[in-house]
Amino acid sequence: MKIDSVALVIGLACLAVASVALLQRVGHQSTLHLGVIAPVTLIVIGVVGLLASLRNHKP
Amino acid sequence: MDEVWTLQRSTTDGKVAGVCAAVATRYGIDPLLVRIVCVLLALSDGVGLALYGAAWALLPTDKDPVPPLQRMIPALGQWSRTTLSICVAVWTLVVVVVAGQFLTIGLGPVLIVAALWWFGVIKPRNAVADRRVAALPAPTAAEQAFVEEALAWRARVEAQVSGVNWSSPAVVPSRVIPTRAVAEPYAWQPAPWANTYEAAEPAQEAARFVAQPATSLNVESPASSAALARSRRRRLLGWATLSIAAGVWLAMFAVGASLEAAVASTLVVVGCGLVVAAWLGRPKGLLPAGVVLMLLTLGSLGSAQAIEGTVLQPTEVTALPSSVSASVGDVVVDLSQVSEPATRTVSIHVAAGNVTVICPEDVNLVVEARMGAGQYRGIDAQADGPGSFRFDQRPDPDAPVLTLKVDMGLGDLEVIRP
Repeated sequence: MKIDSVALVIGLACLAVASVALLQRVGHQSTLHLGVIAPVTLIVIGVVGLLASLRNHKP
Repeated sequence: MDEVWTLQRSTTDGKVAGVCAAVATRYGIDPLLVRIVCVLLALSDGVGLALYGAAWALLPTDKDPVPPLQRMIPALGQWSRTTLSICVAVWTLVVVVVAGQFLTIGLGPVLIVAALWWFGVIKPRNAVADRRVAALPAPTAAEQAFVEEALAWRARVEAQVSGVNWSSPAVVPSRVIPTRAVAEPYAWQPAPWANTYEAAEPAQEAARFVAQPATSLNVESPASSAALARSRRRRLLGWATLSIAAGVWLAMFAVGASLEAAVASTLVVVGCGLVVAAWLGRPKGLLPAGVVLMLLTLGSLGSAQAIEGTVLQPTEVTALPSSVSASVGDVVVDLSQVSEPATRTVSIHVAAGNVTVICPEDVNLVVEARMGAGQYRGIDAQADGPGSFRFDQRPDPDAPVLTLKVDMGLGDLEVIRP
C-alpha cells in the first residue's frame, strides 16, 4: 500500500506549528526556543517524508 | 556528483523549469516533496534559489540537448564538469552573501537537508547498487569470450573510423576476423500464422459481441471497484475532518478562546486528517486548507511576538526569570521597580529584535553579550556587532551584582538606568 508522503509531511508540519502556537498561548513561550524546536522538527518530518517516499518507490 | 550533470529537465512534468521534476524522477521521490525542500532551501539564505537557477541555466531539457546558457555562450560546452561545479559553488556563495542580508533563517536547514539527502538517498542507493553487483553471478567462459569479441569489434570500428589500417593484425586481433561463412540472402516466406489471421472474420466476431446481453458484460472491473472504495474513504475522511474542525472551532469560541487559538486548534484537526489521509487517500481541498491554516498560524505567531514583544516588569527579584527567550520581537526587561535588588544572573536569547534592560540605580552591572548584526549601547560604553563583548561596571563593591548574559542574532541591545 502506497503512502501519500506529501500529505504526511504537510500533516506533521501542521501538527508541529499548531503545537507551538497552542503551547505559546498557554504561556510556555519561555521554555520554547524555536531555534531548537525548528531544526528537530525539520529533521523528524524530513526523515518521515523521505522514508515514506522511498518506501513507495521501492522496486 | 557527475550524476547530477546527467539530469535532464522535464518539459512535461515541470512547474517552472522542470528541475525538481527531474530530480524527483531520477531519485524516485515525490516531486511535490522536492519542491517543498527547494522552497525551504530558497528561504535558507537563498541557497535553493541559487542552485535552481544554476540547474536551469546549465542542464539540458529532455527535448533540447543544449543547455540555455550554452546556447548563449557556446564556449561553455568545452568546460569540464569540475570547472562548472566550481562556478556553481561561487555563484551560490555570492547569492548566499547577498540574500543572507534579507533572510534570517540561516544555513541550518541546508545542512539538515544535505544530511538527509546523503544518508537517506545517496548512501542507501549506493549500497543497493553494490549489493546488486555483488549478487551478479561470475561470467561464464562463453560470456567472457563474447565480451572480448565485442571489445575487439569496437576497437575495429574505432580504428576504421579514425582511418587506421584495420586489417593489420597489429591493430585488430586475428581472432575477431569472422571465419563463419556469410549466410545466403534470406528468402521471404509468409509467416505461419498469416493464413489464420486472413481467415478471421471480424464482422462476425463484432456481431456476436454486440448480441451479448448487457448483464453478461463485466462492466465494473476489480480495479475500478477498488478505486471507488478509495474515493468513498477519501470523501468520508474529508467530511469527518471538516465536521471535527467545525466542532473544535465552535467549542473554542464557546469557551472564549482567541481567534489565534481557534485557528491553531483547527490546524491540529486538519494536521491529523492529513496524516490519516497519507494512508487512506487525500480528500480534495484538505492539503490547501492545511497549508493556509499553517501560514495563518505562523503569521499570528510571528506578528504576536513582533507586535506585542516580551515585556518583563517584576517588582521582586524572585519574580525575575533566569532566562528569557524570544525568536522574533522586542524584549524589555524593566527592573526599575524592584524594591530590594539582589545578586542575580539573567540570560536573554533573541533571534531578531531589540533588547532593552532598565537596571535599578543601586546595583553593579556586568554585561556579557554575543551579538550578530546590531549595536550595544550601555551606560558608559558602546560597541558594534557582530562580536562578543564584556562590560564590567562595579562602582560599589558592596552592592549586589546584576549579570546579563545576552545572545542576540539581529537587533540592538540597550542597557540604561531609569
